[in-house]
Amino acid sequence: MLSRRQAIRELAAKALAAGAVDAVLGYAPGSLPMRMRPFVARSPGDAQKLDWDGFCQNDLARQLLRLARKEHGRLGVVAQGCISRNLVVLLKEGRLDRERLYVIGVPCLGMIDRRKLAQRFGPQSLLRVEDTGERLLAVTARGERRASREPFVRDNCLECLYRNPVLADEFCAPALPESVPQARAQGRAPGGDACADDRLAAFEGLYEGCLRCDACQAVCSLCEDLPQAGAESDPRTSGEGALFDETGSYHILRAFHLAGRCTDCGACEAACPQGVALRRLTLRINRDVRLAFGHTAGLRLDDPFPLFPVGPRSEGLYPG
Amino acid sequence: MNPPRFVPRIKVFFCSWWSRESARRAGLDRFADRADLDVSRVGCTSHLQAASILQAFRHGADGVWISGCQPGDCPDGQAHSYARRQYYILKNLLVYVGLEPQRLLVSWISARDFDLLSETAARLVEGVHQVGPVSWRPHLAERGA
Repeated sequence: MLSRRQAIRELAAKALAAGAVDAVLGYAPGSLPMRMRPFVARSPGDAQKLDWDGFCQNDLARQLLRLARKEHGRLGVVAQGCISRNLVVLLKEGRLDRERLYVIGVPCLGMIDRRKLAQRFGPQSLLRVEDTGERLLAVTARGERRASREPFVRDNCLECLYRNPVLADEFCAPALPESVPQARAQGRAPGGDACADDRLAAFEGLYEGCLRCDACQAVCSLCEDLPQAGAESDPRTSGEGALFDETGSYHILRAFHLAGRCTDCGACEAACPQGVALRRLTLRINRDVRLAFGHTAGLRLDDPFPLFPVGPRSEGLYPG
Repeated sequence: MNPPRFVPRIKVFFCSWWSRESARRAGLDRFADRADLDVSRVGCTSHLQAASILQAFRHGADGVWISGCQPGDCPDGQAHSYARRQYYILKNLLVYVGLEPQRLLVSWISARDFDLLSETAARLVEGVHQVGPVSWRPHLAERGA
């Protein structure tokens, strides 16, 4: 991690000093433990604050969209495999301009799941966790504990097939061998081959904890154009309530809106305060799209979308 | 006392190329005693939003039928072909979360093919009768909807 951090700082500082970019969007330590926060470096001095570890859990492409609207110059962004794929989807939809981007690619070792850490060490006693890239150093109220990284890696990262960025102007580390995933979630039905009633019950159980905080939508760069809480759609078709018919509708529509686009970056599940298994629906859709159309989202700029034309999405079955 | 007879409510979306005359000549009226077919026309079935389909179920529809042009007939051929793929993915998703597949039918029938339209209607009505009232309805009934 140290080498990645150094390389990101050097590449960002060099680009800023040369005037090749006006800002670089990356991560820096925030006020909360086990969370890096998005950070915009605007000078070589600022670039020394950039950081990288297994707690860079946002979808930076979401912040990049906002920055690209506010700023007029060229923008740098630090992106690992899945986020670079989100960038590809956004470029194909015309929501970002490739000429304005400078991508610092990060071959990714996987993000750490804070919930797995909390289960292992106890949520109250974890003060800080340092990620060296090979091991974790957990500083707890009872002292320091060292642990291997892999048991705490996020589920979607364990299944990741694209750890190396597919789109980058520079890389901050050598490419990683693409791993064979330990367990590929095939989007199995929650109730297996159960009857419809059992599948519905399983689906209801899955989303029982959902508060409709919409954090999953707020963190996802590909959901930026989704009407917030269904409040702006006309007619209002998924309300703001937490009753199942509204919550269920919301998640079905959000997942369907991501069909052919979702890269399984896992930012939604990481952002969810309730630990809802949000990826279950998108994994299923990704599987169906892969089996039916041979398409995996965000791999190539010249790969057409199977479900809609390349370019701004306007009409069709997608909500919004 | 006999239980009330189940007359499924089926929300139907036809594209605007389907006229009321097409529905009449296909004899959809003859299903009136077996199903309540609530027909709405949309500009093009490729423009019908997925949210509208979900809303139909949330409002108590036991089945939804979307029928658009036969491939090659639609004036907006590109949107039509993408829509066919989108409906395929949407239906898979809804079945995955517990909707019986008999409840959602998407057909692509020429506006002049009255026989096929009539057969499709019969197949849908029979299918919905087999699976009975939709499960999502109890949630709405609890709220007095």
